Amino acid sequence: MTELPYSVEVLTATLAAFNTTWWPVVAVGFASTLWLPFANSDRHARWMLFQAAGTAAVVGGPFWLGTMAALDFMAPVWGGLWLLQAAALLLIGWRGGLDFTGRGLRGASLVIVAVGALVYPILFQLETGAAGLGVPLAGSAPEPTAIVLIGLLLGARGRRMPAVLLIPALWAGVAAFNGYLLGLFTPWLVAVTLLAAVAARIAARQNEDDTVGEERS
Amino acid sequence: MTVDCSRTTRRRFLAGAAALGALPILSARAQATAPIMRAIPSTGEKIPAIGMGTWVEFNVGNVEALRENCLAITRLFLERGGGMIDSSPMYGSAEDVVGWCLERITDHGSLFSATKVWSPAGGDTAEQLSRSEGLWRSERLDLMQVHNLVDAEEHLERLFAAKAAGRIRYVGITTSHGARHDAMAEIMTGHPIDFAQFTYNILDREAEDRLLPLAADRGIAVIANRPFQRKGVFRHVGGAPLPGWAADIGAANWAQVFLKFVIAHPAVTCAIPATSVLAHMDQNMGALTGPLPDARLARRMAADVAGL
Repeated sequence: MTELPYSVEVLTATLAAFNTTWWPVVAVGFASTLWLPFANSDRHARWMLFQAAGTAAVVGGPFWLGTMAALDFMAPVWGGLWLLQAAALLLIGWRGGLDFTGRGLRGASLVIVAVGALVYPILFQLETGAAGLGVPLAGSAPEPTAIVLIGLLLGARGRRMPAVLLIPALWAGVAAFNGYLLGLFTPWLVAVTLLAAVAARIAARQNEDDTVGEERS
Repeated sequence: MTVDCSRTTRRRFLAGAAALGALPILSARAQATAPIMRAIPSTGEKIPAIGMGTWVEFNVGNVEALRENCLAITRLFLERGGGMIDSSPMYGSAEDVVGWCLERITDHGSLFSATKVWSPAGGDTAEQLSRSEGLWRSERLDLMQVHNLVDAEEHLERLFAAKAAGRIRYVGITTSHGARHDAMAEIMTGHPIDFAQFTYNILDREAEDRLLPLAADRGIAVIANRPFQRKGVFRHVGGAPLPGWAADIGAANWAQVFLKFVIAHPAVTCAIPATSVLAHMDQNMGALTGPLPDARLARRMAADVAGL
């Protein structure tokens, strides 16, 4: 199959219907995303992961298994993946498995969160001409939520990172493919931010190595 | 009261002669406006040669405004003499939307309901059949096809049983991938199916080599899907003006050229373009009347379009 079973027009109309029907959940999800840049990452690490788990659960549940299930036969698979992501974030948050105290990547992390929360819906609206609420919002729709997750995890450390980064990284591929099928560029932003995050991570590690090298020499 | 017809007055003679003289004109006009019908080889039942697909265009979920648009499309399709509406459980909400539309249209005209069984949708053949009947708001569907040949042997056996029990009228198979033509041909040869659905259009004529002759030989009705090659034929011709021969087949636009090319093939029973634009449906249905190209002109059409 080289075509999605729905059109851009149907997608935007469905997003508008979803955002209207689920507005309290959508509003809380979006507001909690906007809270992330102001969260004290030392004290609120666990809550940041719980917030992320909540938004992933909304994407998996009401979005994919609820609204999109009527349109896309892949919805159960995508919904299942996002619920897995929510469970992983919840579990790791519960166990305090990630450390957000590193300061090196805080700036890059916040920029990516801002891209997901603010830039993505604006670009989507400009590209599709979606009216009103027919845009995907961070905290309830998959692509901007994946970008926010990538941004959030960029500022974290811990050996359990792969477990929570796997699905957002996978989503970069899914979003790019869906964007290609729908003829949209905006969904590629997930892959772009993932690559930017990886590049920032490598650059930061390089800097750390250089600093350690200089200290030793 | 009786009328003495034995007396031929001048006035009556002239009136009769005028009527006889007008016959060819009336016949030509009737031919021009009568829908082009094609017989299903296995029964001889005739159906309109232009049908309607629902892939993407009718998958509009529960958005009321988009459903209303589908309703207008379906109403125009049936009013203009359209027959087959083809859907599938793979098409998301399309079956439900079709049923929702049909529920709101009183006169179903020549409606011929066609849908599919598709294993990934879940449930066995009978469960899928029941689900489709419910979604279509129909007590009996005309044609059930095995979607993309998935689990074809298993589904066909059960569909033949459903046909024998009078639950459905026809059994078919579908594919929209050239790579599956071998498997398609194998089933067309080995099973008494009524319909085969595959891609055929003015740019993709692979079916002419094997599947169309095989269908004609085996007495299988052919549903041509993707008659516009997913809009590819329109992109191909761009803004090119209609060639002179378009007028010879009564085609007023490219859509009618492409559809008339498809339904002109003697083995094709029905083409199923899909649209969500009312003006496009109007254009599509224009291909259901008027002359069709003969084999020679069809070859020329294909060559000219390929050369654009």
